[in-house]
Amino acid sequence: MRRESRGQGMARVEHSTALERELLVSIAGGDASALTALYEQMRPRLVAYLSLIVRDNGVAEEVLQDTFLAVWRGASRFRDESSVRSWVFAIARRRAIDRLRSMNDRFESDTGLAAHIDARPGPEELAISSATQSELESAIRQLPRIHQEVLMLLFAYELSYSELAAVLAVPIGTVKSRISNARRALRRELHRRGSIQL
Amino acid sequence: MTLGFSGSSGPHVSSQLAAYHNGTLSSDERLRLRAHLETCSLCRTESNDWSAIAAASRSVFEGFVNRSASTSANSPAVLSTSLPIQFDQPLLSSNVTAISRKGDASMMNAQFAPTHGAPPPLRQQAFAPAALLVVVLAVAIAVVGLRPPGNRSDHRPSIPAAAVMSESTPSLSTPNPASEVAVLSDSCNVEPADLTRLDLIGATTYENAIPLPDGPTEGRAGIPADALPTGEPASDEQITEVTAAVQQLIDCIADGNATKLSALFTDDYWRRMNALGMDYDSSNARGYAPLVRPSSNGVPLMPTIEDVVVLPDGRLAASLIPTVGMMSRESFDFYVFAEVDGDLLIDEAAHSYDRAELHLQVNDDGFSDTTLLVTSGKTDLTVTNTGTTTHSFVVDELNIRMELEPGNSGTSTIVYEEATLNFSSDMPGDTTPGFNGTLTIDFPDLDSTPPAITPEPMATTCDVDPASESVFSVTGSPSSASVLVRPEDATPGLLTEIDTPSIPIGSYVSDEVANEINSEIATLAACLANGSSLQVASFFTEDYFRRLGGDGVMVDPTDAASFVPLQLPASEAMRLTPDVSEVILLPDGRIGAKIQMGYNGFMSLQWQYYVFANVGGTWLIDEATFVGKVTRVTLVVGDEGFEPTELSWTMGITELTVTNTGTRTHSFVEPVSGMNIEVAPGESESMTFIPGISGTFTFTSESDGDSGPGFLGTLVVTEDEAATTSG
Repeated sequence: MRRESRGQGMARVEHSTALERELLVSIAGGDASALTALYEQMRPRLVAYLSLIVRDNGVAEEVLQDTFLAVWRGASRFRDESSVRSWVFAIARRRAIDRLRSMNDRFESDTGLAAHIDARPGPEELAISSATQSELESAIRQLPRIHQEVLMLLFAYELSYSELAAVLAVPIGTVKSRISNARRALRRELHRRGSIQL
Repeated sequence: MTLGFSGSSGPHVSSQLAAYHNGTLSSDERLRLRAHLETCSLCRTESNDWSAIAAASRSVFEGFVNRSASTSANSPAVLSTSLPIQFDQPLLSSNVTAISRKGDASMMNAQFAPTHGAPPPLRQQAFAPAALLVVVLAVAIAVVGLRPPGNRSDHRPSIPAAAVMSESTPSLSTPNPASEVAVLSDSCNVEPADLTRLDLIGATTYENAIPLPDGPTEGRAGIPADALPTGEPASDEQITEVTAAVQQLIDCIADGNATKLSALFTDDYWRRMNALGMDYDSSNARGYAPLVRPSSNGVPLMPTIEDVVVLPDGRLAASLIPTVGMMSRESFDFYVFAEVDGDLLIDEAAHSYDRAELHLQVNDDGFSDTTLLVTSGKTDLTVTNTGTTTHSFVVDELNIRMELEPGNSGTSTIVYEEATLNFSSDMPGDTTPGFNGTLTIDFPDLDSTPPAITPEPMATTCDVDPASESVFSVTGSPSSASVLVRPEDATPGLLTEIDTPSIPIGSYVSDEVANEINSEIATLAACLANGSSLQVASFFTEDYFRRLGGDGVMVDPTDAASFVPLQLPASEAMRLTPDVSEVILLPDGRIGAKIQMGYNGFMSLQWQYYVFANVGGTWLIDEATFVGKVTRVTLVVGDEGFEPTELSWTMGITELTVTNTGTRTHSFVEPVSGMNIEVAPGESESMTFIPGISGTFTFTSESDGDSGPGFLGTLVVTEDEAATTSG
């Protein structure tokens, strides 16, 4: 006899730090000081990330407050199915996009963000590593937001692909595509600036 | 014998390089990737790109984080609408400022310090962000009664204490591997040679093993495979040496230093080149080292090395087959190596080929096909005149002219060169359009960029025609060889594991094709949730079912679960979100893709690999398997109970074999899925499980009389870290 059982694959995708989890347990129990502690721990990177999305540091601070109110209210719903940081970042991102939506002409949906992806074939034979660090930094500053967001989460915050997928609310395959597109866009920008040449 | 990308996955590594440089790969993945980087120059180039991007990104964004942290903690209220990473001014929003004016630091301390313990340091500063948060919360609590939805006793998050205690430190502190890559990229580690030896002429130490072609223009063009020398199989050590020599060649081509590159060839190599009258550019290996390389990139990828032999004169020889980026394996390179002062150097080399055939007819109305396509390295084109008058076949650029009497045939060999050329008949009277055509010689480019896959909207209806039930009873052999090679000791069956390194390699497909595959899988997911088993069956080729039969899989036509290697939804309401990635063109023209199924927004730990064949313009699933390690577990059950009574599984694939040593029938009820396996006395039965959740469960027997304590066991399911990170 040979039969197969297919479990209901609820992936516990990522690990959180014990500290973040403990803080979240305390927050769910009504401990406001735990919320303050989590806030202080995550705030610098969150506000930088939110500023990248909303392009206004003041609005970013407002969204940050909204985010932590949502954390306060939703801590008991955290089910250990993602890391704490990706859960909080995902909340923040949704709040930021909601805020942009409320600002009408400044709203840019994910579909709109995706429109920035430069999928045109680039000068593939050019090595990005031949550019200087300052040239690279300058080019990154000029990239569309969707590429900056991926690079920030990848390298400044060192999120894994599955954490990125959770934050961006896209499949992992899309995460990989966005990563690849960011590199392509950077190469194109460097080429446009003459930092790398044929 | 086949060597090649040992333990690697060709272009698959591209998608892992960013994770490699942000330190989130598992140690196993890092080791595998690093091993691959040692053998892949192109991958190292891309890795170096990511290393540079990572460093620059950290500088840009971490500098921004630091600025954001410091500005808001000491902030006068200044607004900015500039791009954040370009701003220099400290910022705070007007709204936040307004809220903060409702209280100051002393007020906050007075209100909250008794309740929440010692105030954090930031409360000492006006407008400190943590204090702002407390103010916001306090106002919210006071005004609208905002509270967390519970209290300490009954609404704590459902995080098991054991899970909290067992968590390891995340990968944030993982060292950046960039420095290791920098070392790897400098692997053309040979002493430069004197380029004057490229002009050497005269006798050689060994006679030519590769037969000399007729003329100088044929020198690069190649030698038919059936004319190549043969020898005795080489030892493993010799194969390793040849592999290292080929890798060194590729590394030095990537390095671009002609004097170092030329040191990899013997003096006799140059004597032979000069004897052939080759007109080569000493600074460009493409001119004298026959090694197929993608036309869009000057650096070849590590070829598959086959048929390493010891020639009768003691030298080693091998076939180098460019498996990446090619449609066929008919064109390859043949290298002969001689040992010089302890080093294995290239002594002879030639492009070689297995001859492909193309047949064309011409009659009094013209050619039977006016758009010829040649995709292999060398093709014998045979033209047959079926008309009543003499016709010819002429390709000026290739110096081909065959004049054919009625009923006669002529053959000409077309040597690979990318081009689109005109052919015609130049006989008087052959002036109609049918006597003119185009001959396209195409060499598919390697695409090292993954295709961009557009997320499909979640399909909810299964709008496909059902397959015929006859598909379940097809017999015979599949038309394509299986590329998903299962381990020899794998148990036959649908849920057979396959190791990642044995996944085939190929070049990435276009965005268009990748999205066709993605759309196909999205529709399949909808049919798995809402369609009939025959509708699901319509996504598979007949050969797929032939393969299942060959593997001994019993298929139930009414149950898609019996033939689809995908975790099925538990209910129609369960949201299936397939993730398609790594869509590549296989050497046999089929498409391979990695499929990972998500449920209600979470990705499954397991993934599958599908091979698609184009049937009538539609991509159908031709092969499929789970990918990953199968853990095999045995359990004995007797009349007194189970032995052992404690089982520990991971969330990966587990194959359980239950042996009944008792005198009556017993059973095993798997507690996660509820599946029951009955075993007759003296028999053994096997079942494969994929427990989808972790935890501690109780397993039992449901058979009559199995009520004692020995028939209660504990099953502990833990997360499989490797599987968790494999996506």
